[in-house]
Amino acid sequence: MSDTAQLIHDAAHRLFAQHVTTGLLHQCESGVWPEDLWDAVEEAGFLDTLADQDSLPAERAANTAVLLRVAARHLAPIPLGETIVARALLVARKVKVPRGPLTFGVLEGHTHTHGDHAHLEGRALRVPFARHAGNVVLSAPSSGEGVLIAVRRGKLSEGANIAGEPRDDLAFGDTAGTTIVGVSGDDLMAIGAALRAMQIAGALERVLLQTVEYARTRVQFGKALAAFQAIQQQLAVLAGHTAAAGIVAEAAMADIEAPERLSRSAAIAKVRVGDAATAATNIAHQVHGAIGITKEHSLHFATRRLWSWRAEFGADAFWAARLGRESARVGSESYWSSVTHTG
Amino acid sequence: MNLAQPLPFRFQLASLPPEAEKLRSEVRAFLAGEVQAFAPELRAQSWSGFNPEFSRKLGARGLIGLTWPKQYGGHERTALERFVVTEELLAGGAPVAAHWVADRQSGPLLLKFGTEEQRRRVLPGIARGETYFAIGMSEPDSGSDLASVRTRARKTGDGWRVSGTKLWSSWAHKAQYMIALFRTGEGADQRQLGLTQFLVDMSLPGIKVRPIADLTGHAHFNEVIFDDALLPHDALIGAEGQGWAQVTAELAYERSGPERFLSSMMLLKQLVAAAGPDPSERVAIALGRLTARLHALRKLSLSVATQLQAGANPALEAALVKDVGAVFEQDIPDIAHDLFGQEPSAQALDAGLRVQAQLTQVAPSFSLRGGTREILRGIIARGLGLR
Repeated sequence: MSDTAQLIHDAAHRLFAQHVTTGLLHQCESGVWPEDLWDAVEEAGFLDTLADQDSLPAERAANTAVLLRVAARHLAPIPLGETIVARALLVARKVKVPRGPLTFGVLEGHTHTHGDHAHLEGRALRVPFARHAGNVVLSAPSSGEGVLIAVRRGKLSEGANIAGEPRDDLAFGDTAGTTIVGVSGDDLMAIGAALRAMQIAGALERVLLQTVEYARTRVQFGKALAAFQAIQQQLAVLAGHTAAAGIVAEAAMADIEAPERLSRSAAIAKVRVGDAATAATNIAHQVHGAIGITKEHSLHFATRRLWSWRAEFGADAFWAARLGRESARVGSESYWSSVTHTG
Repeated sequence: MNLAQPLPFRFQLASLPPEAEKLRSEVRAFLAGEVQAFAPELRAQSWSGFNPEFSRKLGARGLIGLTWPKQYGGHERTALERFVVTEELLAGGAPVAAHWVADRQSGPLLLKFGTEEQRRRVLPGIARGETYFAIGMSEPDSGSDLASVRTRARKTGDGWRVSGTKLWSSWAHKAQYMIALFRTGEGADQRQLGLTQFLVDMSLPGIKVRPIADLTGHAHFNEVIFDDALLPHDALIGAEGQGWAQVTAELAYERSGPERFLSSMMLLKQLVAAAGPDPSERVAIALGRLTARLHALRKLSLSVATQLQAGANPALEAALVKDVGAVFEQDIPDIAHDLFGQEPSAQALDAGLRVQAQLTQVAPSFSLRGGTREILRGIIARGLGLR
């Protein structure tokens, strides 16, 4: 890890440990916006890790990956990745960056563009934290190339994923927007998949640490759960999934500014972390027993997010079908070289 | 819960240097000429295919003993270049069994613990692809419980007198040497401390090798009986009583490489062929999942190779790769069955089904050899602080 990444890592742990309590997670689920947490994150400069034009793309990507991983360990209930990406897209295209939380989603509908100016109509479903975001970056179906930023967010219907994170539907009728060229709707989908993959990787680390700690302290039949081979073997499997998820998520995040590579690495990541999330939630709940399925215990803050995140921005099956078709097109003889290909 | 604590294992994204990618092209070109002619089911034997002629050719190309010092016939390349050569040989289905153990663990062990005389005697032949090694660890009553070995080496004026039986020694009937773990000390405190490693010349009198057919009828592993065999004094490797520590180091070489997830690669390629250019949704999803798992394993394994190159001892990471890798390798024959449901058979006209027949039958060994799944998960659990 570079010095800067290490600094971000340490500062983020301190910040999130201070702000993200289970009490806050409960409050946010009932509709509270964590104003203090957001202000602290903004003040720490965390929103511009990817927009920072003074550092190299590889550094930007690595810093962002570290930050998202730590934030996900703490389950920070804010649109951190969404805002970071949206700000970076705007800064890179020299579009004025609005204050506050930003988000992005997929527009179903149509757009009329005149140069930089656009008008859009249609809807965007399950947009993360849309109720808190002043502006929304949308993939634009009709233009093919380019995405849009809607300066107004349209009519909003509140919704939530099963972890209680806001996932709102937006309706647009002749809404004004700005066109951002150089990034397509497909690119935006892959970026979303990479973000969720890294969040899943971070949450899996939390689940592993929490479940190991529980197994070491919970006594049954006169000894700690950790002493039972059946438990040890389950946790070893959980560790393997955590390791695999971490490395593919990191690989996808490294490509976050390189759409031509990201379409593949994000697909690989989202498939593998999806598998890992499925296995890990099963194991963690099994080891925790009945207390782990109570509202009082904190395990569910991670497991419910994992169940949502594995399905968001394309479930593992969606990306697996893409990867599988691509492998089939490559064919048997070139399959291996497509795996080792680094370009 | 302290969420800032590091995980007990570390995997970092690593990339291969240009010289390693250059070597990859060379190995690919070499294999295209040497291996393409072999039947797919032969190539599916992967690192169980014993072919001295191929091993000698590989040695002549400078592709064995890749990281060893030149004075012992090595080529002083990096662990990352070795990673590339290894994965290309396996993915290409090259018959590498003859020199595999010697190159992977016996040579490195001798470099670390052997005497100068042992190194000069043995290593150049390994690097030429002419000298082969068997592993003498397990015994009839010691499978996973390696510290319980009973084969005894007794020091006498003439040398070491050895009596007992080693089991599951692959290619002991063809190898010139074995590195064996014998008991040299007795007593309650000697379970691990009473063990010593020896360099055994398999041509010595008093050593009998009895091949054991596996469930396919092939005999690659053996029972090796030592009947008061006399080993010279200089057969000792490292220090008397240090066998346990040395064998643990040897196992780290054995557990971390790409052979721990590429054993079913020939069948995966056959699955891609069977899928055709326009697969059904169900087949595409299955292929995509396997592809994602393969990428993840390769990145994990490359991270281990990078740590080895840096001089670290990533034993926990190696155990994780082997455990996750074995599940992947073993799933492939079952997924082939699930997707296509054709009867695998050695007589099938379709090459894919012949490969599937081969791998379906050998897949159970993937989570036995080199440390069983249960042993590895125990090691991982210890790393997690559970035991």
